[in-house]
Amino acid sequence: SNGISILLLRLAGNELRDIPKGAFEGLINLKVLMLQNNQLQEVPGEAFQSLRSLHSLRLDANHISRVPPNCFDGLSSLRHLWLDDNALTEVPADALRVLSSLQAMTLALNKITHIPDRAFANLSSLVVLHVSNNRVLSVGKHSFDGLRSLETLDLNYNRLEEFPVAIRSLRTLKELGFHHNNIKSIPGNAFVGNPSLVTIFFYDNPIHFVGRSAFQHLPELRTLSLNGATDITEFPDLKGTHSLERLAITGARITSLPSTLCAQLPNLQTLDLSHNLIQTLPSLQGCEKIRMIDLHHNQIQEVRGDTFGSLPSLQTLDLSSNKLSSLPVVELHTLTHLKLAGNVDLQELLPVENFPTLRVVEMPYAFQCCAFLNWEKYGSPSRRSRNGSNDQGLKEGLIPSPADHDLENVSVDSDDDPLPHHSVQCSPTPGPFQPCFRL
Amino acid sequence: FTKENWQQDCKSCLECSKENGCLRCPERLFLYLHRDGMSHHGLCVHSCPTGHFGLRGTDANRCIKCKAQECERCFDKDFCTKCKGGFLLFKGKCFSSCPDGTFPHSTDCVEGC
Repeated sequence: SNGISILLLRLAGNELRDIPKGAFEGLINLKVLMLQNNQLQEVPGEAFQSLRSLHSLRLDANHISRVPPNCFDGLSSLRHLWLDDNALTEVPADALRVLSSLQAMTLALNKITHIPDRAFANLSSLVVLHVSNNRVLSVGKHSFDGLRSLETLDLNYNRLEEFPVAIRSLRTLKELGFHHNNIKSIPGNAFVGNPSLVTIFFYDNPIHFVGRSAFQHLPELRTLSLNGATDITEFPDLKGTHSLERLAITGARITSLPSTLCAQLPNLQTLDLSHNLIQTLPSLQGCEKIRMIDLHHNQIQEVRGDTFGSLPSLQTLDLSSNKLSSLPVVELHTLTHLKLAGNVDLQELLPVENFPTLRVVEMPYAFQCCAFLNWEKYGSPSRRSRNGSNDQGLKEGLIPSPADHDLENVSVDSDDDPLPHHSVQCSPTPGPFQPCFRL
Repeated sequence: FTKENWQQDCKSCLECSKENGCLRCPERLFLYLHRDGMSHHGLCVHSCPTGHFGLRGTDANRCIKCKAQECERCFDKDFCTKCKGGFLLFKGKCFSSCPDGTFPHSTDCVEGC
């Protein structure tokens, strides 16, 4: 009778090879049973059958390669099951069938190669399922049927070659991971059955193609990151995915952006479309919350006044390594980082007064930095040209003498100076060999 | 935990140092980094202490902090298995009062009426 009061039993690390029937007889109130780090070759066939109050069963880090069909019978209250770090080669579907109260299970770090249809059919309360670090090559079309409460599915570090369409039945899924697999494409409407998805991890897959409608109707999705999918030639249609905050599609072959971009993604905060083939840009007005836009290494030839104009939160704009030859005179009064290096035809001076909060600037040529550096001796181009002394401004400015090449210490305090009264880090830095006026 | 008995604790490690205790654990044990002021002290354990769960990996096993709110013991970073006192557990989350459609039963919220 004294077994009644035992709630937790620690038997971890005891070299146990087998546990006979009746070993836990009388422990009717046992809630937690720890058998991890032993030498079990299979799950004990009948030892658990009287443990009707058991909530947590740890069998991780044994050598279990077999799970007898009836070994979990009687565990009507079981919620948490650890079978990770064992030698399973298949999902123990028969044994699991009785665990209707199970809420969390890990089968990670085993040798499972396939997930059959209805492998988890009766696990209607399961919320978390980890199958990472196995050898899963294929998943049946109905493998996840019955998982009506699943919120987290972890298929990371496996050998999947096809997108697991079986996830279509998981209406409550919030987090899906299948990074570090061998999947080459994501089909259209891939997540049509998963309206609750908040996070999808699928990096480190050789994904070449993504269906245009793959990421539609995901109203909870916050982050979408697609890198190196070289077969993507069109920007995805993200209708109904309006909560997206971070979007990165790099290393693809997108040539243009839809004018509906900001209407579809009003909550966008960061947009990274670097390393594509984008030539023209729509107006991004409507992207009220956007802070960072990265478009470096594209083919952009022109930026119109309304492209980036009046974006109230924009701080970082990277247009480096494009084909720009001019910039519109636009007020970008929230910008702190502007990158234009690599636009070899862009040789005009930036009107400094349009960038009062700028801190870091990367320009194609050193002389374009003079305007940003407080040079009392050399006169900032914009101030000279405004004084009407010559309309060339910098083009006939003074050459800095070698003694002054240490430009950082040159500082100016002048009331009518329009330049920002904080230091602006501009590169390439002008100097003896990159003077403030074009030779 | 005191620096004096560090040799004692080193017995459970594969690699150990006086300043930081266990640096590497035997296979299948979890490395638990116990914060000691500005430094950490490593211990090799079968199961992780309160507020942590054991994450097994191909290269090492570590004790990771539970991220779930008001959680005392967890299955993974977001799924709680036992709440702190005064909180009720429902499907891996801790509540100060049971969500709609459930009612308190011992330390849990259960569905039904």
